[in-house]
Amino acid sequence: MTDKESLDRVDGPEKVAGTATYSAEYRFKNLAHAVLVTSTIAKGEITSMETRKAERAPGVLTVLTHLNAPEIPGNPKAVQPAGRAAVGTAFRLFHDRYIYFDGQPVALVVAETAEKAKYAASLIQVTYQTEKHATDFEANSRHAALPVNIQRSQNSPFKDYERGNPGAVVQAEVKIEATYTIPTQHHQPLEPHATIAVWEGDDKLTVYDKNQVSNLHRETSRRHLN
Amino acid sequence: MKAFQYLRPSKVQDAIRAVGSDPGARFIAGGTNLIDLMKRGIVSPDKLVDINHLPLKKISYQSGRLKIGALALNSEVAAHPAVLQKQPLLAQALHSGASGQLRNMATMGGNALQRTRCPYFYDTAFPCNKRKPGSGCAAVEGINRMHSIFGVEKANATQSCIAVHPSDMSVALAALDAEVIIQGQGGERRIAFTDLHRLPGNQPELDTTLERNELITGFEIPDNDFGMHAHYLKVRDRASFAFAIVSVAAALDVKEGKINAARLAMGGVAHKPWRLFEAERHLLGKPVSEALFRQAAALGMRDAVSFGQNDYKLRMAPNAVVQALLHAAAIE
Repeated sequence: MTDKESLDRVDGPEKVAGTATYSAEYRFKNLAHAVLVTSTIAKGEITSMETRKAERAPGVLTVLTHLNAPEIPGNPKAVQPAGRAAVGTAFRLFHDRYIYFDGQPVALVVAETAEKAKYAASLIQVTYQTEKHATDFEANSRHAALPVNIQRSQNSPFKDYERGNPGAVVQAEVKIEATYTIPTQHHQPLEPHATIAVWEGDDKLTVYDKNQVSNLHRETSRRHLN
Repeated sequence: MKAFQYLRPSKVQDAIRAVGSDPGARFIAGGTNLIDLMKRGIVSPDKLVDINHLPLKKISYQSGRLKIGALALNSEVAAHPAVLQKQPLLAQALHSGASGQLRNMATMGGNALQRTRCPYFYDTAFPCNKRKPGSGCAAVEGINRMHSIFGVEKANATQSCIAVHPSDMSVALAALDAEVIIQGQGGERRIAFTDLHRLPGNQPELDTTLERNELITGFEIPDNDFGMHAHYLKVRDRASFAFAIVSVAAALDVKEGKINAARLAMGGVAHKPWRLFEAERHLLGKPVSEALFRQAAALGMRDAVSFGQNDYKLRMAPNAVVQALLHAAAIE
């Protein structure tokens, strides 16, 4: 990158110096804290949830699961088909008993402090009916298929890229055949995933959030809350 | 995290009594491992007995022995003139461990007593004999590229534990014939550092031979003639802040072209720092050469086993031993 292309990040100095305020660091009176309980299986169904101990733990305000979660105004349960959601369907939080991925949120404990919420979350017991998951890319590569929406799209960046004479390799005098793999890449944000939501009136909600596209996030929140 | 009681006694005996009298009590020093374990629900003490204020921080050299208090910080020990002069191998091993921030918090005693970083020990959704005795070992058939090749019987592995002890410092202390000074309610005892950690056997929940009411108060390392002919080689996934895949502490005393004394210990290969006694004996009295080092390394591997993803360690371990010995002998 040349000097001309280089741009200073507005938050660069604060982040490097450790003085940037992360979403979780804003302080409000009577702030409740929520901790997620996540699935320990990659595929299957929740068969039972024992939440009574957590509900009775000190400082707990509520425990949300798919069994008692309130309807999301912009995403009503009534209009969603029953059964396991089809591939490509947007994930719906606390919507039904199905597990789609390891670490899927299955319960949310809200308490007076983060420590109390975390302790109560550890008291929740979930039992599952496990189904066989397939997460090994190598072993499943023969089932690989281009998703329909990519096939339909003229300009999808995920389409096969072709130029020149792709058949030339067949006639080539010298060929090099090799398999190239990419090491595991971890997405590591500087700050932990945390959100603070503050109602500042009946029709005004301010959200302090760790995200990459704040206006998109604002629109999604608005749509869900109507 | 479960609510717990916090005590800060000012005397060693008071701290030992506080832990000895309460099965739910634990000592806490730097806390760089215990706090993580508490956050993850691996251990849930009712009472934490903070020993940071006890007078066990001193580093000194007296009558042929380097004495290091159990609460001396890893960073202080690694930079101490007496350590650098008398036992440079220990300084090297300490420097290779964790990160600067962690070394500034972690104590010598805590480093020796840190728990394994086996992912199945940390994930309470999986069986783990170390965390929950009798539940099984998910690592034997699981992701085990970081796991043991020594000190575990393959046929018995699912009833036992194939996790490794993660400490670099402990590998150097094992190699240097260090002694551990242990204070109990009845008085003081001393053991060889190599007897502090256990092999998993049928009680993998026990990492060490310490009793509940015992506290490590210090370590002593006797003088040796290795001088600068000592090397700590650490093979790891990243150049910094990563646990050893395989590490080797090698020390040689060469007189008139022949090896007069040798020490070899490995990390990342067993439930405890792994001394290669037979390989050490093979080196004695012989002139230094790469061929000799290869023979010794091969002897050291005789009882090695592997579990699939860690098969590569069977080749990496002896190569690391040879490399560390070459460095120690200043051949390379």
